[in-house]
Amino acid sequence: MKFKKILVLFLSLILVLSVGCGEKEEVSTEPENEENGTNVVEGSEEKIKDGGMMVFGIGDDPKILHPFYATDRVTMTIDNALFDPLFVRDGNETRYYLAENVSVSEDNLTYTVKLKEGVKWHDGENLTADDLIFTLEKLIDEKQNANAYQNFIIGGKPISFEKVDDLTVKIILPEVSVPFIETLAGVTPIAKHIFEGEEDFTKSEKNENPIGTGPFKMKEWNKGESIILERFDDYHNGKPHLDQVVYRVVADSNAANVAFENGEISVRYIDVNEYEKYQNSNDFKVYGFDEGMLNYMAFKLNNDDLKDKKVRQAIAYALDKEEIIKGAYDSLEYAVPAYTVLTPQTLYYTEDVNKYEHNVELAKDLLKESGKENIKLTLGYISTSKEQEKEALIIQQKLKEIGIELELMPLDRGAFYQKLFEPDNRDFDLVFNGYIMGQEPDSYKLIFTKGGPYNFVGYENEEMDKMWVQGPMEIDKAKRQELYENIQKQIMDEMIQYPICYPKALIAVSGNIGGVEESKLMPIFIFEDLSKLYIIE
Amino acid sequence: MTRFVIKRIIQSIPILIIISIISFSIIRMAPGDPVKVFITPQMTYEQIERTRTRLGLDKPIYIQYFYWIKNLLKGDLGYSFINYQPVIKLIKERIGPTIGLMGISMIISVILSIALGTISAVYKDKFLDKFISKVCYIGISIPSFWFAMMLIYTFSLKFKILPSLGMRSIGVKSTLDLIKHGIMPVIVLSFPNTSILTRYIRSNVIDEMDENYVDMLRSKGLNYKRILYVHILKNSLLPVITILGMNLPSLVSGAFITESIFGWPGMGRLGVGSIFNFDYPVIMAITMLSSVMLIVGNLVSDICYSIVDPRIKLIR
Repeated sequence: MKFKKILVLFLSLILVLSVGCGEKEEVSTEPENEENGTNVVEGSEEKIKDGGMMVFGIGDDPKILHPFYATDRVTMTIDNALFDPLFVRDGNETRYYLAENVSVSEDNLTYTVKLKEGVKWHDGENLTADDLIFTLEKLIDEKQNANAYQNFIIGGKPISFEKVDDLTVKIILPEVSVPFIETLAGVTPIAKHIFEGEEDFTKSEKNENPIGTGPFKMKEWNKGESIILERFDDYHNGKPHLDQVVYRVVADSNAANVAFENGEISVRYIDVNEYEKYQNSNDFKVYGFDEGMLNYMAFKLNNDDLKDKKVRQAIAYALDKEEIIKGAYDSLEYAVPAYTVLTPQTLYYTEDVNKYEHNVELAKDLLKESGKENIKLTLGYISTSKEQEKEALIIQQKLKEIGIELELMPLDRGAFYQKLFEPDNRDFDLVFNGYIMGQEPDSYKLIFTKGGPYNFVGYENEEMDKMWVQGPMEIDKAKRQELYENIQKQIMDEMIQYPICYPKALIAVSGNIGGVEESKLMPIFIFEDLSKLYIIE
Repeated sequence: MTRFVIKRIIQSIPILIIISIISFSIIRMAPGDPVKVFITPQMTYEQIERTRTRLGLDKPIYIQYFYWIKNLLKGDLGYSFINYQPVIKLIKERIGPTIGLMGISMIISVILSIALGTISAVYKDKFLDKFISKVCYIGISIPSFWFAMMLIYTFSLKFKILPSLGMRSIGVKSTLDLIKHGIMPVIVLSFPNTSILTRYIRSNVIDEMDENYVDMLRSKGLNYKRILYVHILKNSLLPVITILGMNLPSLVSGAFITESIFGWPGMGRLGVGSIFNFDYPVIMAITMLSSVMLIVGNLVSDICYSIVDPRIKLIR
């Protein structure tokens, strides 16, 4: 039961979220060729219209519109429009939103957050240090059961904090934890004057009409139909261009398609075929961006043959990664080959590992050395995933070449995840899965350490576990880097999982929407900063 | 009459209990776990277990059932697992659009099918009858999702005269706008029903025409039209009552496919959404509501029978 985090990430990824624009206007700009996965509009002579509406298609209503409890894509997307975070970390870059700056003391135990001056809540009140203190108090309150609760408990003790002045808060950690900066970035303050006295945030009626600090504020929520947000004129990052952002429920994917082509909604996640179709159209623009996701095949170590490292390595050598990707995703353009278990956005990602280039002879030799014969394996995957189905067929073919018989076991989504996280399940030995773990390598320990909630393959390695524990406490950057690079090398050497690819998220937007690049394309909610989007006049 | 009704209501109680036990068990047997909807990568085992306890899922199933039925008797349908809103509130939000949509399509079906069925019977084997019958066959066999997509393609994409999505345009609150949004869903929902009812009424009217009382009335010199519209039609409508009674639950359960395609914010979508999310309280509430409606529908149609056709006596 406890092993279901990746699953949720994976599920939320698959939840349909399409986005769109409600106004049909003639489009004068033409999308140019692709460059680094995004389209560049020729010349920036676009005239920015003040006002206008953009419509996102959503699969269903959001759940609880409170930043503490978002677990699905729709809720996260709408939260992102309503609530601003303190800051966003993107690789080495930090973009400040509600925080003006954050400083870390030399001993790495004290974080000082200075809030921007003059930030207003949607109801006109000022954002102050008291709001941040209140938010932190509630985050470490076990009763509120915030999703991120555990991140604020370090070494078994909760963090402490104190108000320095009206805009400054000092946060003190009980012990060093380098990834805490990531946790802090994810803090979206809630308003003290709204939630003070509310006993249980999840059941609070305040969530029906959320008050945030984001570029758009709640106007109307028609259950099961639409959520209408309107421009927040006092937005701290400058008045947004659009005057309305609408989230419309479109439960059926065909209907979403029609609505998109019709201009009733205007941003959609699309597949490879649609990407190629819309690419050549003047009415739409297409973009591809990295979602920070890894698709892989895992070896379940409760299979006697797979317990042998040489068998696992033999399988890795027998497979041709590019062939698998081309078979499943048409071209390497839509999915980048993966050689390690971290994603490229993750800190200390390295490709300096054993890449297991396709080598059938070596695979056969390794099998011979292992002494195992007549190996029969079963590969479990989700029956409705076209990509997984294609990958499975190619892998079956390739393993036959080295004398391994592979049986395919497509399963219903619910049944698949149930079996995946059952420790004793022996129904399948190989399994397809995917994850988005974020940019902090520390979070990957959930997958690879003994007893880790996602360690469904049952991998145990005491040496490596020690390195995982050391990781978050290592202040020296160079040493930390070395640590995580070693971990990656070891995992690949042991071949606990076979990384396949980093698939790209593909979206299409109506041709009259501008500012897509400025708004920064992000995993999950597509646009990081909605205030930068505009209608081209 | 009153005694009959009371007896029937008492009889329905064990049925409802059996239905609730069966649906409660089936829902729990489906693979999947409602708690997984809440889990994020940061959560620990303890936190997940806390969620489980809070939802009451840590107890054995029969105890959960017991709690559920205890609360039900107090009129409390519980809270949704997904957004912690009271189930009653969720249903209230969604039931209006569904009753509107289903009710109007039902009324249109009845009116149209009485007219078409009678015409078909009167012109039996003539061109008009054959034409109506052909259309009815199409109506009975056409898949609703395909029909809906074709309508959207024609009226929204090609001619751009009807909106394809939702119940209202963004920011518009006029009745005309509501009607425009309702046209295509109503057509999709009433076409199959109209077709089935038309066929029933046609064959009933034809049967009744051969009855002795018709000959008798004619020999008394009654106008044929009067015989048809007053005497024959009245007797031909019995199956309509049955079918309407059987269709009553759809007023509260909605139509998932049609509602999904047209983005209609009704009960069908609420039901399926809660099934995907393992939202047990909502699933149970909708199942029970539909069951009650079915029982009520049967009861009402039995009563109607006795009124329309005195030959059928309510058994005391």
